[in-house]
Amino acid sequence: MDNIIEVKQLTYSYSDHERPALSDISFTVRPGEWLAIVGHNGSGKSTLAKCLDGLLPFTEGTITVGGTELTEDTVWTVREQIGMIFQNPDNQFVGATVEDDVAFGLENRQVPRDKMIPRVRAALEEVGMGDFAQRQPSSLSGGQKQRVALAGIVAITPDILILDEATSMLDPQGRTAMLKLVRQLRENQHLTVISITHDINEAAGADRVLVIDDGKLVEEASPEEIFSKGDQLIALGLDIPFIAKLKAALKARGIVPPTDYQTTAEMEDWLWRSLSNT
Amino acid sequence: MSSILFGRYLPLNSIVHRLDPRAKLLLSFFYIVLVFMANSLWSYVILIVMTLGAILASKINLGFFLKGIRPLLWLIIFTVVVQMLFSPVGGHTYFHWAFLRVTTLGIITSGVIAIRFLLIIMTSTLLTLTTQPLDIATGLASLMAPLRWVKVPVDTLAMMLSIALRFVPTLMDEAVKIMNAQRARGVDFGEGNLFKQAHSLIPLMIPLFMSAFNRAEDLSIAMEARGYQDSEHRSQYRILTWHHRDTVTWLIFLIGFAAILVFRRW
Ligand SMILES: Nc1ncnc2c1ncn2[C@@H]1O[C@H](COP(=O)(O)OP(=O)(O)O)[C@@H](O)[C@H]1O
Ligand SMILES: [Mg+2]
Repeated sequence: MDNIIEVKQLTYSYSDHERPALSDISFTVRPGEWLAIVGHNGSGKSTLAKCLDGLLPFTEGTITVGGTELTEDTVWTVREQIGMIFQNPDNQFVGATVEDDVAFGLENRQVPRDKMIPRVRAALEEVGMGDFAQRQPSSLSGGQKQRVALAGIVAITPDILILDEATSMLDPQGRTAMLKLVRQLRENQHLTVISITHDINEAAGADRVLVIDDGKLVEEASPEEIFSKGDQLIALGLDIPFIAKLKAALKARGIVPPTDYQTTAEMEDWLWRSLSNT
Repeated sequence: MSSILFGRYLPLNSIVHRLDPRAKLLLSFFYIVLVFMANSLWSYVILIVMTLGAILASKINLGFFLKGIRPLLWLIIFTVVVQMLFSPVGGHTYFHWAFLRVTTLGIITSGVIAIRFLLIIMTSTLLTLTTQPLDIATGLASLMAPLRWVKVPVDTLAMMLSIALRFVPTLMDEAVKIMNAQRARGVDFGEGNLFKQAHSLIPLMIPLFMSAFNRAEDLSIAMEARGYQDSEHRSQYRILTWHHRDTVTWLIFLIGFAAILVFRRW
């Protein structure tokens, strides 16, 4: 099948900056793919995400989403296909209660009320927030608010989900739960996922990783390839993973850990095996 | 200050809580109009009975309720005293000093004002205690709907009101966090004279405003990403439904209102 997103030579400058926030970015995304975008703060990741959703008026380059080229006239068609979750759980919660917030996107699309009610309920069930429908945002945790944001996206059934550091303000448990949920949604709803992240676990789960530095696309590789770079990770703007720190510490003590990328469980296995061998 | 009940919501499960906010808003409005029209003993008795009846029906403890409006009594007493001293001269004079005098007529007028004041405070407190701010907003928007015909952007106003209400707790939390952070840096809040107190608010207000603007910017982007174009071309998830109980309540109050008009001195 054709690429679901094609970006060609995208360049974008904020009017009050001389240096472009994005320069000459080109990449494609296949349907159903999970793409991670990493890079340090201010490298232009959010700018790229906003361009994809037609939230910023770029003039150089083209973006094609689901076969439709993004222009001023097609922006609403394109936006129909994309659901976006932002970093701050509070600043994207529009509704007065959980159910009102999930309904927000449906109201904007003028879905009749009798169709909204089952869709809101189903979306909340899907993200495990069915019992919270009447709750007000101030009584929810950050992780719960992000779940509600996901429900708002489930309700409008887009093809593409963009997470712009959506887990970065959550505690570790909230993060893991949110990632698990995104994986599950991706299965159930056949979503293409683009996740912008500093979180190594989030990037590790991706099919492919793009590295952006200073508005330029500097690397495009599988997570394994990226993570095998070890020390360079910090330079790329990822938080050093615990496993990598552990490996470095082991090396410093003269123990040689496996060189390819390992999940926490694999590393634990390896440690146990090495310990029982000695 | 914190003991004032006016403006707070008390979640209980009573018929008054369940009434349509439009019914409550309109009843409160007409009630207040009638408070100003009442002028005979009986008309006041009926008004008082109506208010007490509504408070009883709301399941709110009467003692708790009266305690909650007590801080506002000072305002009433102040008004009454001023009224008593400056009101028109008539009847027997009890006290006289320079241009100030307390007369029978003055006492009656200020008594009437005190009762009116009290009744209005009680009714509006009951309204907020039994109706969530969001429902008040939805009710107001619904009642304002006819203003669309004269090009008032009712839907946009309703959206603004709802978002403002939604962000009140968020910004309150933030204010507390900022105050704690500034206290840790040695700022004293609520100390010294009025000028000093106002001055100490600057390190609170500036970060709070900065953050509010950032939030507004984020929120507008998130709203646009979720397909928001304008407030007119949207369907409505939250709607109000008028039940039998609303009609019945209205009928009961209509009888009361009619009785007041009958018993009032024309
Ligand atoms: N609204 C804006 N106006 C002007 N400049 C901006 C705006 N948003 C971001 N920038 C600038 O664009 C660059 C990229 O920012 P951003 O896309 O937010 O990076 P990231 O999401 O990777 O941290 C930064 O230099 C930032 O200062
Ligand atoms: Mg960003």
